[in-house]
Amino acid sequence: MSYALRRLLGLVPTLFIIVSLAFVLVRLAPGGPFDQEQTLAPEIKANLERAYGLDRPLGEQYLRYLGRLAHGDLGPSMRLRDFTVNELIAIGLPVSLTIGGLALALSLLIGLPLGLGAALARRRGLDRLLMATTALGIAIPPYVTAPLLALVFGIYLRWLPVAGWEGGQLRDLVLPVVALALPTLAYLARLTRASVLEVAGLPFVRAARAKGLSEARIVLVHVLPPALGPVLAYLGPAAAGILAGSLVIETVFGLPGMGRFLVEGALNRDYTLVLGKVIVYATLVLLLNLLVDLLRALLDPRIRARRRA
Amino acid sequence: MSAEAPLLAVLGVGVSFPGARPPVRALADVELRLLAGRSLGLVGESGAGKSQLALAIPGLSAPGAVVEGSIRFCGEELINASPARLRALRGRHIGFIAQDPQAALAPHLKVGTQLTETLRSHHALDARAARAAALQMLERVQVPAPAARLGQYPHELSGGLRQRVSIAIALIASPSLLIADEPTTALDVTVEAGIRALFLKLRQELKLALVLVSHDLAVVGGLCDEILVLYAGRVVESGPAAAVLKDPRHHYTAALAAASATLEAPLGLPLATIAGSQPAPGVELAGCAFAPRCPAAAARCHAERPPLASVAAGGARVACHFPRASA
Repeated sequence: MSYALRRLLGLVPTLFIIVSLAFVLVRLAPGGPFDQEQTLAPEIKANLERAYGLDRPLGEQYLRYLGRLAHGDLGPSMRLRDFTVNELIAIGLPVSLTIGGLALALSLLIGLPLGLGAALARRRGLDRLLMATTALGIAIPPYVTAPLLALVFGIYLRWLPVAGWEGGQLRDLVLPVVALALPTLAYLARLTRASVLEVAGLPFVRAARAKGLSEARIVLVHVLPPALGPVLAYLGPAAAGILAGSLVIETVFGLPGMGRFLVEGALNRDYTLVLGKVIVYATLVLLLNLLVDLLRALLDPRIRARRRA
Repeated sequence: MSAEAPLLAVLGVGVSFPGARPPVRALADVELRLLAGRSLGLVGESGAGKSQLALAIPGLSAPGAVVEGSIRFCGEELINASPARLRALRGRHIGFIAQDPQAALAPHLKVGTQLTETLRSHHALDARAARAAALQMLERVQVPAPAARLGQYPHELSGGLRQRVSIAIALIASPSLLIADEPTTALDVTVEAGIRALFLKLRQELKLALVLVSHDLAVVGGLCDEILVLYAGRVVESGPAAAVLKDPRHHYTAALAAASATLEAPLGLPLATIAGSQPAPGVELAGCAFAPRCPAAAARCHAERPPLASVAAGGARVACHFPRASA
């Protein structure tokens, strides 16, 4: 438990570096939040900049931002002036977490059994079929599958809505979640297959067979737990990939998630909005990686031993 | 079972890998008989086919291997036996110990689990009874602090302890035949001596039949009643251990004996070696496979493969056109 706490505290410096880098990068882009097509009168622009503290030296702005961040305040949005960034995230985060979480769960629930099945059917028809389709699944990005799915199931078959979000009903969720999950699902299936085949060739599996154990026990108790290590390790990057994919998916399906306003925010130099969302994404990825590390230790006593030492 | 019926009878057994490039014949025409409670040593250098034979008996050959001939255990044919039948025999009637105890134990399962699962997959036994049996078995193989070991993982044990645990796993369901594939090769010399002593003790206590694979004639000589010498996948000599060791009739066995490190050998002399090497996997010679390295090889040896034939009344057999004279 103290190990988990230590790792959690260890996230603070990482997050600090991410915040600082993001702060500088956002400011490096030319222009500012109040440069528009119709130029504002210089006095108005100066007033606006003073109101948001943009007239201060960059160092002071940075320290002030950190100070507010320490209290969980991400500041007001510079372009959507009726909202604070916290409010905008509070609206978008549940939507994004729902489709991202469901996509990750779907990838695991289907990808793992598919990979295991392919490994057990090694080099026979099922294995070859799965390997070919998963190669396709990885190769085709969500921004291609998403419109295709919408076209087939939304327009031709009329089974599901093409887009939209009416209070997050299941029918609104299906297409975005599937489109988002496909590449991760396919990759997880291939990873699981490779990992299971590798472990199945190790001497201790032959030893398990020599003990006369049932094939089911050999697969579930001897092969699967060590084989899941690399699969779990991939979940961190997989979550990051799903987050990135959700930006596109939310746009394609018109979902009010975290991705909404982020691209416009970046184009319009809405400093606080972009920074706030970057921080939330980074925190999510860091937390998930930490969770994965802790889960791996549960599966492998040798990792636990190394941590105690 | 009559006194003459062997526990294990192997006849004309071959193991080949037709899918390999080039196709490999790892073992050909092997014959052996083992009576209940007796022990047999399989000797030869790496690649001679010892391990292939050890694996083929309980049906553990690698995927892609084709096993032919006849392997009878208690009169029951094992080649082409159903997977379910083989599973029922393995662990319960035929115990198996692999070469490297580090690799043969599942790294993520506690010692106790690995011991009791063998027992519980063959007998209807509750957890407490299985644990008691596991404790008893660990004591029998002289593992110190056995109760604490049950909760430990393999990486927390020393190499010697791991091999003792492997032995306990192989024996916990009281098999009548134990197959040990180089059980001491991966261990330190001092630890090895302890494991050998343990094998001797267990054989006497449990009336075990033992098939011991080793590249070391001296190890086999100390533990086994009979010896089978393999070269390039074929039996070149077999017979009672004492006779084969003291009076090897095949030139290969003699060379192998000379190459064994012993404490009696004078210091400072280089260890004897056998010049040359075995035919490469996939290469099949028309004559005796040892002929290219044999000091006594004649033209006939290269042209015609010698059959395994009796040379003495004691049951010693040798596959050589010009066997060494009896001492």
